[in-house]
Amino acid sequence: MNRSMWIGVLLAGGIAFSVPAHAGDQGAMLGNTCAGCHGLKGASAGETMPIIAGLPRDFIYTAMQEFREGTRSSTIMGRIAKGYNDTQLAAMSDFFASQKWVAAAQPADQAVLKRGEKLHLKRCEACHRDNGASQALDMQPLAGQWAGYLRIYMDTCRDTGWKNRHPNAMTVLCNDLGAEDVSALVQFYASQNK
Amino acid sequence: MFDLNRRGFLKVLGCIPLAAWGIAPRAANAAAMARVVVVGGGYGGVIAARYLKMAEPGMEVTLIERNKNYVSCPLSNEVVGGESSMEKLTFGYDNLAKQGIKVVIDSVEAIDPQGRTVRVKGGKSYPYDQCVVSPGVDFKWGNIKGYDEAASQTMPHAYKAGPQTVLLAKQIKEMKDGGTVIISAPDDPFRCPPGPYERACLIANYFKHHKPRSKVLILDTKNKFSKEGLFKQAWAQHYQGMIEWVSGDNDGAVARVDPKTMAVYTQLNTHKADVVNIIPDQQAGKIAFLAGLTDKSGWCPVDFATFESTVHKNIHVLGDSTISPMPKSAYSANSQAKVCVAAILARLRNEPLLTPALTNTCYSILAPDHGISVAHIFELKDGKLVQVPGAGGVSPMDASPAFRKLESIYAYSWFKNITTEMFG
Ligand SMILES: Cc1cc2nc3c(=O)[nH]c(=O)nc-3n(C[C@H](O)[C@H](O)[C@H](O)COP(=O)(O)OP(=O)(O)OC[C@H]3O[C@@H](n4cnc5c(N)ncnc54)[C@H](O)[C@@H]3O)c2cc1C
Ligand code: HEC
Ligand code: HEC
Repeated sequence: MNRSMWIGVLLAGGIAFSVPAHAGDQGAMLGNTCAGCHGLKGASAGETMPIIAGLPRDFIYTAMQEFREGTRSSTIMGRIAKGYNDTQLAAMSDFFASQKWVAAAQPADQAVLKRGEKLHLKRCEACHRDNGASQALDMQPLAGQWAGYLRIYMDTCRDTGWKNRHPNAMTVLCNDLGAEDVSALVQFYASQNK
Repeated sequence: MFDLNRRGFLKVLGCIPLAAWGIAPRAANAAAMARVVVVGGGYGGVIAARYLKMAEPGMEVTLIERNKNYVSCPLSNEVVGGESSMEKLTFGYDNLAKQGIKVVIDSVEAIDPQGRTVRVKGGKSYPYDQCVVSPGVDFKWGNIKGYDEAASQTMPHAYKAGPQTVLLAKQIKEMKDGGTVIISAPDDPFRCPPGPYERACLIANYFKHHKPRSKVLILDTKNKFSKEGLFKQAWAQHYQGMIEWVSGDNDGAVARVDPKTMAVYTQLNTHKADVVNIIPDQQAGKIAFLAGLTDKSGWCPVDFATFESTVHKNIHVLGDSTISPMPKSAYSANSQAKVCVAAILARLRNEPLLTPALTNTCYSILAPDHGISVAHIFELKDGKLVQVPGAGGVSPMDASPAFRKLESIYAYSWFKNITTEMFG
């Protein structure tokens, strides 16, 4: 079927899915094994499970390697990442990076948004540009990620000393922020649902 | 390869939509024009139907399911333990129909592998080019004397979610404090290997808050079970003296029951209980037997690169009904369905097969804020499905309460995602 026919079918059927997965795609084959947890093509609908659809390719690839080597802490990703070699990780990273980033549809607590925005501009915007939407330097966007997950990332770092690759994590994410600051920040990112 | 000779060719032509007549059939079009019938709208079947339709919007995909709504077994132990509702487990097929999948609510009574048709109770026959069968399990009613479908109205199995789940939850709720619940755990292989033990936890959790003098007695055929160390640790931590497990070697195997007197007989002992939950031994879903897809083990042998039956060509079997080293779980069924879809597409499009990627994971909730998990990553090695060495495994024994809490939180997001992937 050629491209214009596809478009015809898509229009006629009102089908919401984008370009059909090609059977010859090993990245999709690998990536599909993640969907049971991370959602269809990585677009998580579970409010604590990170959206991985549309994350920067190099972030996914490096994060998976770090999970595998244990230099990035996790509950389960370490056990999963150990199942794949670099070629496989590259293929699945390409697959997820080529999906569209779809911000989580989540409510945000209006009462704390101002405080969140202020904190963000003061301490986070320097790196997490564009109100946290930026993917510059292969960073994960904060805007539109599930607030539940952002909170876990920050809490585990502070309370449990979990390893990640955040610059000066202990100062930036922990010592300088109280629990209410964290709440306000993640609500602010939740409200930036682009 | 897609068989464009004889009847197959005519069949393909027969189902070309009018609008497509201007185009000469090519291998790539064969997929778009093919008819696939999926039997069973559960964790395996729904994913197969949905992924086929997603990849080939023109394909005629028919999903035949006996029940109007699907009730999920995952998280049903929470209903048994009074922590959740049936509503949260119940899903309709409307969104699948909206995506263009032909949803037929009827019971499949026969599959003709030669004539390539599926016949339903209502009488209609559905022709197929490729068929996918994911009917879940059936019970071996004969293995425990006195336990049959009628007995399950008094001694529920609650191992197919639905009215049985509600019945067991009700019996536990109505039981007097100081009573005993017996769980009879089945022999391997059975769906959800940690299921009976998770259930024991969640019943004990309910007792702890509402009927603190009550007990759960697990009578087991087996001498070991899934995630055993983690379960025993949680029993000691949360349910001291409330859960007792009797292994097969210690006379745990239930031989006979009497629903009238609520007696449960092992070889040497008679146990009386207030609530009896018999989880029977299992085999492939009945339709797999009727279609001749099973071997003498009572399960369906398949080729792991395609999930095509090794008995009948062009019929694929997924999920609980298959014989495979993968645990019988929702996650396995989901993962297998995607490998099967890729193989069906490759065949219809005349493309080479991809290397299959198969994963199982399973969360269990042992108490509020106490979750554990297991993961398995599989690869095909010389035609055999094996676990990737060094990967997967269970949650660490020495994990902190914070870690256990995180896993319980992730368990709910897992459920949300795997069910949204199907029904969303
Ligand atoms: C208490 C419990 C807890 C569980 N918890 C988990 C968990 O946490 N995680 C996990 O991964 N797994 C869990 N499981 C296992 C999981 O439910 C199964 O492994 C999974 O449902 C298998 O999918 P399936 O497609 O093979 O079968 P099913 O999901 O059972 O689907 C089969 C479908 O086929 C239909 N059907 C059967 N025969 C016919 C016919 N002849 N005609 C028409 N329709 C038919 C049935 O009505 C059913 O809807 C649990 C199971 C139980 C019992
Ligand atoms: C059993 C559920 C499960 C499966 C299957 C799973 N993940 Fe994860 N994933 C998680 C959880 C939970 C986290 C948070 C870290 C942790 O605790 O393990 C996570 C985190 C991640 C992250 C970090 C996201 C971020 O923004 O920090 C990436 C990337 C990721 N997973 C990729 C994958 C890929 C790729 C696969 C498939 C090969 C996969 N996951 C399979 C549960 C899962
Ligand atoms: C010096 C640059 C820098 C600053 C300042 C900074 N971050 Fe980050 N942030 C990063 C980088 C780099 C990553 C990727 C880390 C990784 O790979 O784990 C990141 C990741 C994160 C993540 C993980 C997101 C995910 O989905 O996994 C969160 C949450 C986060 N930052 C929050 C904040 C907050 C809140 C602030 C302000 C208080 C902040 N960061 C300030 C650089 C920065």
